[in-house]
Amino acid sequence: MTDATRYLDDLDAELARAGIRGAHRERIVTEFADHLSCNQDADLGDPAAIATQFADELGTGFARTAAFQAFLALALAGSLVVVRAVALLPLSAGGFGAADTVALLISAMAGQVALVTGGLGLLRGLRLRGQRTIPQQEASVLARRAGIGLAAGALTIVAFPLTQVYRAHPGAIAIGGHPTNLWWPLASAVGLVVLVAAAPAVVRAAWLRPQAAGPAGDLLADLGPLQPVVARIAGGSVNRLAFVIGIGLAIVIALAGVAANDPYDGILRGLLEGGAFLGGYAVLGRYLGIRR
Amino acid sequence: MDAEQLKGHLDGLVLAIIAGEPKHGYAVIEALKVRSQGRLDLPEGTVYPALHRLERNGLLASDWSDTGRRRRVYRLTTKGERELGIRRRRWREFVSTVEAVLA
Repeated sequence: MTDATRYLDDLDAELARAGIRGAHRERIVTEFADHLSCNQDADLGDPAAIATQFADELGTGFARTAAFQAFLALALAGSLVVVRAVALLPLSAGGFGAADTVALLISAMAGQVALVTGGLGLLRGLRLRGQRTIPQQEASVLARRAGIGLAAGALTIVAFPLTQVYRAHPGAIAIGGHPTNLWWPLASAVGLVVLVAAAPAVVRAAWLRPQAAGPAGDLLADLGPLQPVVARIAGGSVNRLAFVIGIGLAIVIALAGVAANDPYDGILRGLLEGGAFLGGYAVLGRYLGIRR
Repeated sequence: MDAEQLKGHLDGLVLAIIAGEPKHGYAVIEALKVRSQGRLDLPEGTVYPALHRLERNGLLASDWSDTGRRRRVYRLTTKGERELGIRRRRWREFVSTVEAVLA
């Protein structure tokens, strides 16, 4: 085995260890092989360092792309969910059953998770957009926000159609029987396709992450120019900020119920929403890089 | 001049080298050595991440060329030409500013 062959084998192994696969890896090794065939004594550098540099730059790009694509997919799917909600209005006149209510509740909750994680992913992606390489922890946060956002978005979309398939709701299954009935399955299907189309970018980002060490920022770091103002209001504590948002959310929803002459329903929904927000923050906050 | 001093300038140098005519990785390194009269001392492998990065950013385009052996040949894009012009202008401003202070 010649030195050149050994170098190329080492480079290939280091690239694989760094998570660089398929055509990317083949192209890099082929270019280095061509270089060595021009000059067998070329000083190409440490294979591990070369692989790390490629992984850092590729992984950074993949993570940002995942966040941006997930947000775009969620925005499109969200618009289709609105179309679906409008198309479902004539069906709701006949009354929803318990299964529909549960499905709509899941759909509403998952929709909020998708909105928040997708939006936070976009914010983090924008904050890191000028950087050639980002720490592995930041890339993980971007991939997680994108992944959770897409999963929650998919749950938002499939929750209601699944109950229809389960119950074989006559009004809903009879596509074409009512002009609006065509739209909600169509909007659901297209929304799901849009979300699935964004999934490969997330998988790629999860597979190939930068190697660089360093901490990931928290929610305050995502706020950009608003950070000093919000940090001052929250006393520099993300936990306090989350608590304020949760309480504020509950109060706003309760007041909306009061304004709609249904104070008990408003208070109940406010407590549920505020509680769900704080519960979600407690469970997913660290995982999604919202708190440290 | 070592790799550390080159940080932040390598991309511009590579763009300038490729601006003349399309080149493969080894030819880029050789041209860097010749045009710097051997004063640029960096591990030759570091040019490849730079080439890939510039291509990802749309400043370079590349194709496989099969002239005896398989090699990737890079050329400047229109965006790359614009970027090179910007970098040259900024560099001249930087040099004249520092020169004015140091001289």
